[in-house]
Amino acid sequence: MEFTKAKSAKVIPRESTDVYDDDAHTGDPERDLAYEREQAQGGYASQPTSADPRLPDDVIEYLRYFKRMVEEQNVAEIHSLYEHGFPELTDRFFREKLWPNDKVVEGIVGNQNRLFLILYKEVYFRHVYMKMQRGPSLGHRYDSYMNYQDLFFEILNAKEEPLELQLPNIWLWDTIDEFVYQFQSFCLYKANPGKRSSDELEDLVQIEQNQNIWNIYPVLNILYSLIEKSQINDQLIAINTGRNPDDVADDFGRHALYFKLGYFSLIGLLRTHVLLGDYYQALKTVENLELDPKGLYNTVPSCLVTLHYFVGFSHMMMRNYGEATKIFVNCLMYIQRTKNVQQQHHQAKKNPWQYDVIGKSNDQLYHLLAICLTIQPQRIDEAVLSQLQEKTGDRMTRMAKGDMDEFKLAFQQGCPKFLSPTTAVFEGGNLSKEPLLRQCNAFLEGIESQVAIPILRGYLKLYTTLPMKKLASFMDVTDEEYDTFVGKLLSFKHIVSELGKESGDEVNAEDDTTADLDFYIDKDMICIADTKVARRVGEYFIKHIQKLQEVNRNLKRLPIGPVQQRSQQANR
Amino acid sequence: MKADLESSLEGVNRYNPQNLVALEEYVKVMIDENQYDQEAVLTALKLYQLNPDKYNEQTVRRILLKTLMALPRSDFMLAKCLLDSNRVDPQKAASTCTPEMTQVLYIGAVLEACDFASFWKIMRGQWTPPEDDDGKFKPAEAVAQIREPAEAVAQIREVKGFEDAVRSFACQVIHVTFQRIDKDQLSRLLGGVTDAQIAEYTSRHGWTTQSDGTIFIQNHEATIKSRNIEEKLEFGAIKDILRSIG
Repeated sequence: MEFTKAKSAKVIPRESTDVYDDDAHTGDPERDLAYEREQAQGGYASQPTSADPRLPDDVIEYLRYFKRMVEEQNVAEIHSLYEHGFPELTDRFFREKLWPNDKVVEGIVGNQNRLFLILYKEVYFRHVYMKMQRGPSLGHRYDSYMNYQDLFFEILNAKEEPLELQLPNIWLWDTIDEFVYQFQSFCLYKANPGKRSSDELEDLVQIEQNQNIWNIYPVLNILYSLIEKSQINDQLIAINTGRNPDDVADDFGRHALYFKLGYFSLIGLLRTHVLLGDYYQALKTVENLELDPKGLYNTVPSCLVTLHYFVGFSHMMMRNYGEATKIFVNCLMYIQRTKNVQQQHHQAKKNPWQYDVIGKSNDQLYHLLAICLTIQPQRIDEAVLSQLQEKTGDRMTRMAKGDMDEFKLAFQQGCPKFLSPTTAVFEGGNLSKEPLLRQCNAFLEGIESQVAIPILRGYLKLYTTLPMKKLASFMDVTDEEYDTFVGKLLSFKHIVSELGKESGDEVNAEDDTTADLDFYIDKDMICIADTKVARRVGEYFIKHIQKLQEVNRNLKRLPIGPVQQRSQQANR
Repeated sequence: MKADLESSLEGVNRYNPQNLVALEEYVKVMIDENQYDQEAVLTALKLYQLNPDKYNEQTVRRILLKTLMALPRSDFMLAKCLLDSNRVDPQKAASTCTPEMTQVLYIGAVLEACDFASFWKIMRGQWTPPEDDDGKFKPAEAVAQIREPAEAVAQIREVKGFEDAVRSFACQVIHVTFQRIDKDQLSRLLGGVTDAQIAEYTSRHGWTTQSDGTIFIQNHEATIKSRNIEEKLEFGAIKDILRSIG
């Protein structure tokens, strides 16, 4: 109860779209007290405000060093402390409990550097979100949101000159990604009464009344502000046209921190739009962000995967199956290629959160790819194809027969967790799945007219020419349904020719070697063109040569010498 | 009006619910004057999504019909994805979905399926729900559920240029599908148009009428043909691996 009161005392009436007039929440004794109580559950009862004697020296040392590196803007060191140090210490000391709260940390590193404490809390809450099996408490959600506000306030409200801060790419991406994730998580939480305790209900009612945390408007506002402050769109256009981005940017835009945050915010916003079912805005958000090997997203694997996944998904929802397929396949090839590196990396730092993102997306991507390829088969990379067949071969066969339930399952397993920003359920049933079902139905309604396509394809594959009437009789079409049946053929071509493409540029048939089957109708004769692809042996041989080389390398490394020694010993 | 709105929809201001009044008016203008502004209609739907208390089904229905006129582009799909389930499904709790809304969605399903035959039957009042049979061939499920075609027609009639837009969509799909088409069939797909109209569509799309009563659409023979793709191994691609063996 005190917790709520403390919070509502903090509520500042403000325009729903204006976030940055909020002041920091530290220094409010009543609330910080509640905060401590919250922490007590995490294993830090009666926390003194000075360095906790029970805190291992390594951790204290780590925090002090971390702070110094942040102050010195030593990105390489920060990177290693963030990516390796934190997971390592978590593994050693904080498997069962939470990291010390900000008061304790303040006692260790002093309170002069507020920014460091905010950054620390950003990582601290991420750990909390990951640790809590049933999801974090409302208190944690609240505090984490306030901390994000503090962080973005510091960055965005620097008026004269940019904030003196440098962070590694991965941390910047993780921050944006986590911010969107926590927003998503809150939306699902408030739509699902089963997820909360009875105490939390009262607090939630208050929060929803005041709309003061994780509301869609401030969340969008933060992302848009980061994009605007960094002038990222102007800069990307300049880069794409071969000009110097510094010419179009001011001091903020030229500053690495702002540039990168703006860049990653585009991808965060892309994700947010997709979660809201707004595919048009989603694609528009990243229109200046070209998928090429020089882009900043390449430096952070999980960012690359997120970008491809959501762009591809948007194309799929807009019925551009060809485009979606291309993007999904590129992403899957990337994951396949880097799998070993990722796994080693993952084991080395014992960090369970990063590989998971990629591993999970990997599975989702295959489900979505199965849908796209069933409706519009194409030739794809063979390694991806063999994985696809292994994972979803049976499913694709059933989908090709027009089994709608199978489409539905594939969609639900492959899609992101959609959300409704305005649904809060205080009592009653869980509505958190509604947005997902809605997108699923919207997708299926459209697909229903397209499930005939794989069936038609099955017949067409058998012929080079086929009279319309004959095909109609195969499909039990009565005379009065004949024109509707013609519609199916038109629909087939509608999809395959990608008439729906936004860009409106004509699909170049010469260029389009990916379609496996095409046809045209000459009066009442269907003329079918089939593309046969000879087996590609080159790739096969290369793969085996590489394998042989690896075996050879391993053989050489085997300690063969001692065998002789041993035999000598045996002789003695 | 368009220019005014464009400036007020920049950046984060796009999400200002106060824009809704102007947007609703703008949608009405689009209906009456056969205009279309994709950005504006999608923004309106977005604002309804974020401000459920401002939801106005009449405008949403108008928008959906307008997006159907944008076929073969996927605007209708985009619009549908912005509607919550209680807006489109009468079975849901707290549903606001009226029968008029359901009709619009059905018409959408018919057109998305390129089922021009059923669409024109509905428009001509000749439509009867198909009987259940066990045949393999079924029209889209939504088509079988249309119960009040007359009311759907009334809604469509309010939208200026709707039938023309459907014909234009049909022509585009025909263009990529047919090499030659019987005049009768073309006429049926375009909703029983007169010879004069056929001549007009023919010239608009660069088709030619032939002496045997067919219309030549375009030559697909040259572009759509069977191919065998053989692998071409280029030396450059295997250079690296050869070097590592050597």
